Amino acid sequence: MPEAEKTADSDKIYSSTYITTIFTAQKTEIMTLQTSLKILLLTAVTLTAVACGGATSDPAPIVEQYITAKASSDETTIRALICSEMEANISMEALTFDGIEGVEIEDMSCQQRNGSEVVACSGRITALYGSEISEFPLENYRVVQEDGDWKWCGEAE
Amino acid sequence: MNRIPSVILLILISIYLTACNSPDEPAVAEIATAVPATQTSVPTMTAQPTKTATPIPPPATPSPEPSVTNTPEPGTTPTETAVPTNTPEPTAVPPTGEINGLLRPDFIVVPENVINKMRDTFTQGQTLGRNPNNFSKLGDSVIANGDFLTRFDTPGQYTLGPDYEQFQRVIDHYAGSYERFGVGMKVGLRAWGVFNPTWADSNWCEPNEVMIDCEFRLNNPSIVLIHLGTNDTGETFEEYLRLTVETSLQNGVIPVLLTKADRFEGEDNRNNIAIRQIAADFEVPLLDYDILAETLPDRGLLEDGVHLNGPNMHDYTQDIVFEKGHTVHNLAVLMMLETLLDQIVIPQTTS
Repeated sequence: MPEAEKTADSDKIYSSTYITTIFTAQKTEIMTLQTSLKILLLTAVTLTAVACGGATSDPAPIVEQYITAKASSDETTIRALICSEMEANISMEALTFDGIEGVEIEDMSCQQRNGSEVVACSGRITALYGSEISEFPLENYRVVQEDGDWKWCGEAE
Repeated sequence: MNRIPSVILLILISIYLTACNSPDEPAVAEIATAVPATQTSVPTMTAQPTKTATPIPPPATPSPEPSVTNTPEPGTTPTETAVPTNTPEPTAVPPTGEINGLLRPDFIVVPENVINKMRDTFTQGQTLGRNPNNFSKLGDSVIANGDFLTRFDTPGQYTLGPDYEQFQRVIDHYAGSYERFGVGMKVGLRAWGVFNPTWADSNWCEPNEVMIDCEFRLNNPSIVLIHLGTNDTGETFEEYLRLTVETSLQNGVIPVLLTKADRFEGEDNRNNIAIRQIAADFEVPLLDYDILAETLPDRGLLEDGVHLNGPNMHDYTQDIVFEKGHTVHNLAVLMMLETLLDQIVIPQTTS
């Protein structure tokens, strides 16, 4: 390479303007990466909190699970899902439909009421007595958090 | 360099998907699958019934839902002492006290010790503001139907005749209570159901309020007629019937226990035996209808062996009514109410 060209290249390579341009570009890319990482981490944390954390999870499935256990006199599940305040009622809760044939849950749908500690359910439990059906409408239920888990805690307004 | 965020994002999503499954979620699916709603299992902590009780209700006796005419008005809490509006003058125990050859003391079991104790209960109830003109019904489908007492609130739907015309003053005293359905009755009711909020009528009762408390709050009775045991095949029957009696006494309400005509829990008749024992233990009135049922063809029962049979007309000048379940049952209840009125209510409200 001719000396003149070398000098020209050298000037190009080592000129402060060129160096600054490259440095700025690298810095911008690093900052973009850092920002992206922060956003990703924040998103991940939020998603984790929403999906895994008890504080903001949906208690409605727990209530539905409790109602199902009650209709089938499943005392083990009732015990697992009832709040400590109601523990004295476990046996009574398990007795609710004990020995009754033809117990069915119809059209059960439960939803947390505006982020409150109340889950509103619609639908009914039906029990068959000979040719006559006795109905037990599903109602509003109170839920509380214990150790990060939602628990069924009786009826609510 | 530009692919790094995407890779990190993928890693985070993978971690999120694999590690963040709530332990509750599979449990829901597991239990929902393992324990379908239609399955009825026997809990481990309760006594296993010897027989599955599924009484067949009588097709001819519909179970009326609470309606405008026969449901309680909410808000009638016992806050003030009610004064009887049509208390009759005290009378001697009426001479007529016989049904199908059985004398009144054979099936209306209210001895002196019971009268004395129930006078105390009635007085306690009056201090709580119980209405001496109201009685409540608490029980299963044997009484949760349109044939239990209801006709006595509708002139023209019954004829007492010369032998039982004395009961008109009893009908007048408790006017309105006969046709009232209330919230203390439900088809299929077990004794424990009296204390289980799920069995209480959510249209009338407060959240977590049990049936007996709700009925007392709404109707404010001085007497409660209790017919339980037909659906109870386990050992919990006696425990919760005793609790029912205790709760009534604590609330100043006279509990009247009725034995039943059926043998649905078994031929050993253990529930009726338990009812008699509880009445004796607590010194409360007993209407031993089981004994009267022995005088009736087919024990006064429908083919299901559980529910009472009977003609729709309640004409006590006709022989047929003394062969049927509902009519004899209702007449016996009038006799019991008359005994309580004369021996307890009138003496305590006029003294």
